[in-house]
Amino acid sequence: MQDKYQSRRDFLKKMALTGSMATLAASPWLSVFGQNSMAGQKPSDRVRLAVIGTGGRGKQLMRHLFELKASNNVEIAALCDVYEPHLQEAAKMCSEQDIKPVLYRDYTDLLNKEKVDGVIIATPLHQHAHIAIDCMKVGIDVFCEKSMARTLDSTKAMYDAHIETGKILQIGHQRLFNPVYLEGMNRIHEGDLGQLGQLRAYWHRNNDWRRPVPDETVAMDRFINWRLYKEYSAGLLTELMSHQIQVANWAIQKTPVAVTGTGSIVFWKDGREVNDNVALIYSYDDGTQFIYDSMTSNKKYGLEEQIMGHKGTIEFETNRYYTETPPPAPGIIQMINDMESGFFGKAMIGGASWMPETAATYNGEPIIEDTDFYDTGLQLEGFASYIRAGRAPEALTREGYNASIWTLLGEAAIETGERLTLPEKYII
Amino acid sequence: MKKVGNQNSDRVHHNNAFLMNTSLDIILWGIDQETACDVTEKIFNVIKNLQGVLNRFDPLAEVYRVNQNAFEKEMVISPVLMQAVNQGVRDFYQTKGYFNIFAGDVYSSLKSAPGENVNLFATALLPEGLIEINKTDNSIRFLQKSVSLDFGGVGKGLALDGVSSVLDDFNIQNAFISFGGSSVLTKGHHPHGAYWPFSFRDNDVEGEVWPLVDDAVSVSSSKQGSGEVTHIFDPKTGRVETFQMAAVQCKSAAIAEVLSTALIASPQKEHQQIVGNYNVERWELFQER
Repeated sequence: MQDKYQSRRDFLKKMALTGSMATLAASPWLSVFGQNSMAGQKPSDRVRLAVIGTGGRGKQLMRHLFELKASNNVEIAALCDVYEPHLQEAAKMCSEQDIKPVLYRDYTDLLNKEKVDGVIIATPLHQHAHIAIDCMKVGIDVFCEKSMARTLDSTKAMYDAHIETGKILQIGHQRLFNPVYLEGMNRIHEGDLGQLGQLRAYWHRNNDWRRPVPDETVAMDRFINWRLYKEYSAGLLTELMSHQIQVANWAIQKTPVAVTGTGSIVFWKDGREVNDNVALIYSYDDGTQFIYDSMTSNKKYGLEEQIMGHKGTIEFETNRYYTETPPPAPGIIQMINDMESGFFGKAMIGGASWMPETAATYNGEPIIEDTDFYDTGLQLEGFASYIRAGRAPEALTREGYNASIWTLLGEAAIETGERLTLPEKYII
Repeated sequence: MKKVGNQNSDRVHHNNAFLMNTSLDIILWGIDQETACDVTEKIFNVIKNLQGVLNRFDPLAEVYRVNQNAFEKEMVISPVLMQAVNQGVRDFYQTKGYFNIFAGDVYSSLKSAPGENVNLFATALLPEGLIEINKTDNSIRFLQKSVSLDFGGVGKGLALDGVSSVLDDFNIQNAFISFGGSSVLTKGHHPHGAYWPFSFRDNDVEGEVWPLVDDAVSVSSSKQGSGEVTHIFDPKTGRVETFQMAAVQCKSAAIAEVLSTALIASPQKEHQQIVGNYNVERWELFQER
């Protein structure tokens, strides 16, 4: 990561070189990147952060913070986790970076004792809401991993706390900071794909999704493998699909009006409660559909979001754009024009364009050429910048909220077998 | 399927796709849009299926697998490939060996290192010395390690002959189908004339109109691409012969392709005899000016 990490400055330079400044203009959450003096190096400019939840994702976010802490004048002031091994592993990582954060086992102690500007919440899903709300209520800005919260009500409560306190609530949808998505979305919104009809997305893996458990107790299994139990997670929906419905909403620039779905435990019948096989259809008021499926017993098709319009298709995960109509060969347009205008002139079409068969078939075109950006790092740079600026673009919070709400409504649609619309009280 | 233009827009249909590494343009007229869509989808499928057999670079394609294994063991092949192989044997003799589907590796070597010493062993033997064909059980076996099937010089022609059958099945009276301008198939005529007025887009060889009615045309050049890389050689000497471009008109797109390639590859003294072995309506060779 050291060699490949590209900061917001590289990112801005790249976007400018590729003529993508329109993309920046269309993405208000990136405007802060354009402010030259945003990361002052004085101690008083330093952004003090705490990381709450230092498991796998929390440690991954910390690695990004290590990369950007100097250039962004960010300090990791405290770490918190209820699980001692994770806390100690994170502390060791910091020690290797000559960072000495204060360690906490209870986040309320952290809030009482530390004066931090922002927290990064990477706990299991069911703990997001109360921690985020408590942080915002004591004046701390929040970066929270997706999905926002475990229930519709707790998701709304998080959003309400953000509105009431005026504190930043940024949800970790890193694709919002990914140049491939930014450029692709700009093309979609400029009409390059024409009228969108269907958006399809899938996330297929072939593993049991279990993490090793230190002992054989049920309690520890539920603690470590929280993603498999409904009390803590909606499984594939909150952990995977929430990313992709955010992409769909972003592409369509709307939120759905209804969802239907089905799900089952078809393969991993090992005591888990969440489905290992789901399929949903989200409908939008303009007639577009977002068709989703996810499973954990086949990985052939992997991960993709396909945005399909009448002029073209974008596949984001593989950075491809496909036109529905490749340019006609020379002379063809002239002949068509002649045919439609009643003119009978010679068609200058014949030419020695014989091409050898090669390995290349039409594989579309890249949306952008250079994809060596770490969107997760960029979104953390954004978080530090928003804290320093005192506010974050509201669009960022709304993207996270709507993705989370509709993910959870998808879960309800699967469980009830009904076509569900969003209750008025959750509409923002 | 795009309806084109203002006048007669309900009758002229254009669609295109990138297939066989070339832009395929389909122009139909005199039919309704629904039929045009059905025909176009069928054409795309026929070509994709053939591509899945003949592509020697795609590990999933039949020819790729045959090239990898047929020297080591006898391989049962599809009827489509068997037909293409048998036609390749006939074309070998009818072109006096100047069109050779069995020498893929030789051609690859010549293309990658033109002018250098390339082992021409695979092009020095007759097909019987290169490949054993068992028509009883549809199997083949390569008799020399250097044998490699290569349908690059005829693939689009075979595809267009398949397209011709599709058009007949749908009773399409008027069509102009072009693989990048180098392989063209026509049915019927232009809506405002008695034929399709085919001509060349290269100003250096711009000539009179070739009237096409239910005809195919193939145009081959000794060089290809913006880099002007030589890609058709005399398989017997490895050298490039005199003419830079050949155009052949006949009823079969595959035969037109075979001949346009063979005429570029062969010495001038062989041309009349090679062409005489086929039923050709028109052919012409062009020198670079």
